[in-house]
Amino acid sequence: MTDDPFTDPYLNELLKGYRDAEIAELQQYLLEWEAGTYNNVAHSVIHYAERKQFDPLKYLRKAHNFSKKGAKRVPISGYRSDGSAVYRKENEFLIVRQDQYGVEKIVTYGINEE
Amino acid sequence: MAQVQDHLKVQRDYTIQLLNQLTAEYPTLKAEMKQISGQYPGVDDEFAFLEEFELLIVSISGYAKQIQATGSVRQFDAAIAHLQQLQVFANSTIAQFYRGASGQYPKVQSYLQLLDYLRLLTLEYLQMQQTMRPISA
Repeated sequence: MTDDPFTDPYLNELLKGYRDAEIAELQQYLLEWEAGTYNNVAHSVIHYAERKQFDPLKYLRKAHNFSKKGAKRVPISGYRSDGSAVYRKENEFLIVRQDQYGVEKIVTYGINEE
Repeated sequence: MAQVQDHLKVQRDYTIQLLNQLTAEYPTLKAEMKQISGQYPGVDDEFAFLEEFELLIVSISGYAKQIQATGSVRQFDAAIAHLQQLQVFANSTIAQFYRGASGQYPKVQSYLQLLDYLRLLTLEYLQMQQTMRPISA
């Protein structure tokens, strides 16, 4: 499934109702994520936002603003056998996995007191 | 063949129904999750319970969402193998929480059971599809 907005129904659905500047911001954040077991990144974000009852842009913005600096990482280096690692800071966490190019991407973001 | 197709459709509908139920119920876990975050903060070298929980939810739900959207999944054989590995109660952090909770967190405990059931329904659906695929030469 492509992320081309002209052919990707999930991206079209995700971007619906946002202004141009917000769309640009949202698309920039999507590059930081990996699709995981969903059809694509937009598909995953739609479901996260629905499950967590968050506005998708606000959800992506919070994940983007999570600073890895000073966060505890598990494992300290490398990844678990399932390829994941978590950054934990105060009541927030960011679960990441490397993509095919070795770039660390966000799998999911959570707030422990949400 | 028509009977199998009907069975497949019923299985798909049931999977989607459970997925929607879990999506709708997630916000009701908030109070229990808040308590759990204090009681199970996670140790230095392991994922905390809520981190494992979140990762299981997105991993299992993603496959079910693909089935809802397209009727199948990308990387079919790898997805079946992954769903077999994702056994909720085989995860030591989840199992430890579940044993220790002993009814203290009924909503989260029930959610874990339903999540594992969603995994099994999704897996069964894909295995049914697998039996219908033409055997390649």
